[in-house]
Amino acid sequence: MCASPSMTISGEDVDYALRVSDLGKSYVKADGTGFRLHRVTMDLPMGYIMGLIGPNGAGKSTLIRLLLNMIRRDSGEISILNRDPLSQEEEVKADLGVVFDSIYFLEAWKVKAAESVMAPMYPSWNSDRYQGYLRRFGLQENRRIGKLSRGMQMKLMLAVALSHDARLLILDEPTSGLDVLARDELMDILLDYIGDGRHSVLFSTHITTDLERVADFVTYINRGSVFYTGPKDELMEAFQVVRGGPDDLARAQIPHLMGLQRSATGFEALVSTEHLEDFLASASPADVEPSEERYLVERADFDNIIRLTTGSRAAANKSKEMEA
Amino acid sequence: MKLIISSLSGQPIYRQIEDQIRSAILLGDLKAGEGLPSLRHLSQELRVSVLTVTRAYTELAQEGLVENIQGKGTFVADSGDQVMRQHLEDRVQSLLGEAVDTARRAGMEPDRIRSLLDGLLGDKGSAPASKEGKE
Amino acid sequence: MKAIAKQIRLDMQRCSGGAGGCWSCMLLFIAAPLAGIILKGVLVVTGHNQDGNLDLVNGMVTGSCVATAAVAQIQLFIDFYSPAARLNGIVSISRGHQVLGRYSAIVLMVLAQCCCFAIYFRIAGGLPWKGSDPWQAVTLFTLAIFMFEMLLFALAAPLFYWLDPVKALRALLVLFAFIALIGIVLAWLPLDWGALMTKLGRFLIGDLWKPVALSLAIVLLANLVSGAVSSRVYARREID
Repeated sequence: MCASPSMTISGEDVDYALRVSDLGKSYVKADGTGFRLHRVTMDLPMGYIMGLIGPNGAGKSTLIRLLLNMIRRDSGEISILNRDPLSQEEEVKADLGVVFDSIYFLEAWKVKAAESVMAPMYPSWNSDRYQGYLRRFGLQENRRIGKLSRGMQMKLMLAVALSHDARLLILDEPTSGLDVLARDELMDILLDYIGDGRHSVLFSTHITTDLERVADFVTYINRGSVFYTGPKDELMEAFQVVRGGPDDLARAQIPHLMGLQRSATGFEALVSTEHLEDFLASASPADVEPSEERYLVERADFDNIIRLTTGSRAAANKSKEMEA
Repeated sequence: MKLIISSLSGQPIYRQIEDQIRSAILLGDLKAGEGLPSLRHLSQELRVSVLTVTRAYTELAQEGLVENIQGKGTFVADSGDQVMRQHLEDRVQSLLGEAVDTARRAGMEPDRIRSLLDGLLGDKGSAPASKEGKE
Repeated sequence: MKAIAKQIRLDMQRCSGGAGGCWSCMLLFIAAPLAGIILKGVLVVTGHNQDGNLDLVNGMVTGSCVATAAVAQIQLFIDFYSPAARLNGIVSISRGHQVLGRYSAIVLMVLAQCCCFAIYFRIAGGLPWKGSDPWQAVTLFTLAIFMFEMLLFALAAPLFYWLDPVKALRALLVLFAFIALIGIVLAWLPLDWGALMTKLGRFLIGDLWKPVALSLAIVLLANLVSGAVSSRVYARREID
């Protein structure tokens, strides 16, 4: 299910902003349960936006912490902007802009502390651009950071991240505190950011509607494993959502499903496009013409894919795949 | 160039972009040799991903409607509208072929078929090309 | 190196509450001795310049200096326990340089404080013993403060790099208790404390450079060992 993004415009060698290979991390959480990020592999070519999607607890934030060396990997290789983030940590981080879901300054500080603290960190800090963003986002320098709303805190981090010509922007769940207008504005900012083809974005979120139009590549992580990584369009075209009545699902059809949800009024299933024919053909009764009118078939979007593959059946299958 | 993209319509976005550019070329809104917006510029305007626009442009280039010139951008092919027209003619031919087959199966006489055709042509007059542009 | 300088600046900003630069932090550290100097001046002018008052002021200044140092150190480590710790993961400073930078920052701040302190004491007078050379007494007393604060940091820093602030403080108190215990045990031993004290006294009153060199060496050694431990501990620490 993994496709590597070797898509090029003119056939020349692709320059990668981020390459991750066989990344693994396992640990025991505070409540005693184990968590495992298993053989994560993905590539982000320079100049594009990659969405990191998956349900809560899937491992997206863990992956980002591993990229930033905030937690240590058990196995695997990472290359950021063609450098090794372990041996060249300082050079790599000077070129990164990071936005988390909560502010990384002390809440007791005022907004103006952000520039005094961050500007000396980056040789290419652009104060005019930073001030411009503060104005645009409506951030006042004398307010206490703790008093800002979550959305405003995120905008502060974004303003910092965009003001030192970072070549890779990493955003970890930045939209949780934003309303629709602000999220739209963020998409505009990101598209503008990659406009010259030399800047890239890695964007992790569980609000998938933001990414569906704007992401070039997608990595879907669930329960610590990569279900898919590659161009976004291919993911959405690889699956169909099939809906039908409660009696319309035959035993013989189940092996062709990637995911399933049943309810009193019917079922909703995720079928890979290449297996759709087989699925329809094994409907029962077998002597009836398999017709699409019996089922409602439509293109899958991220929400459906995530929702339907997070059920226990799909996860169990995936674990079996992993053990193999 | 006017481009309207809807995420709600069942059509993939790259297909919508393709179709609308194709119509524009056929209608003459986009002239031969004229430049299309750059990939990233269009992606920002439409608020869609760069790869989606790339795919639309690539498909159009494969059809021969546009040319991708390294370092300069994408331009309407010199004979873009002619290629389109040829396309459509081929399509009309195959559609007519199907219609004729169906008519034969129904046992219709050639004269009957012709009069049906005349009737249709008379109703719609010279239909604008854009109606044919939609798949 | 540039990264270490960045960390020094960052830690100084942390000590002074964010928006200030290095100078606000330095000001904070020398505030106590500075206030002492002013207070001494007030006492002289108002005619209350007796020994009793002086001892009070001396005590207050000394206590404030040590307290400032302790509070600053805690301030530095306090954000390990909040989302603000992520800043350490973002900045373009490696873990090793972060530790080196922090130690350097503390040394600079304590040095600044001690210099100011020495000036205060020279002006204030009223020292524990009246030796022949006032500067010797001042130097020795300042040295004592310097050693105390730096050894305190050397002891506390690895703990704070390892544990969260509450546990680290507890561990520190346990260590103090342990040291006190050793002190008590030593006091019980049948050693000739009187002779030892006399020897120490003569050592201190002798050539000035000897005690200075010795204490600097002790501080250097303690902080080198402490720094190495901190580096190891911090390199393994995970920032959520």
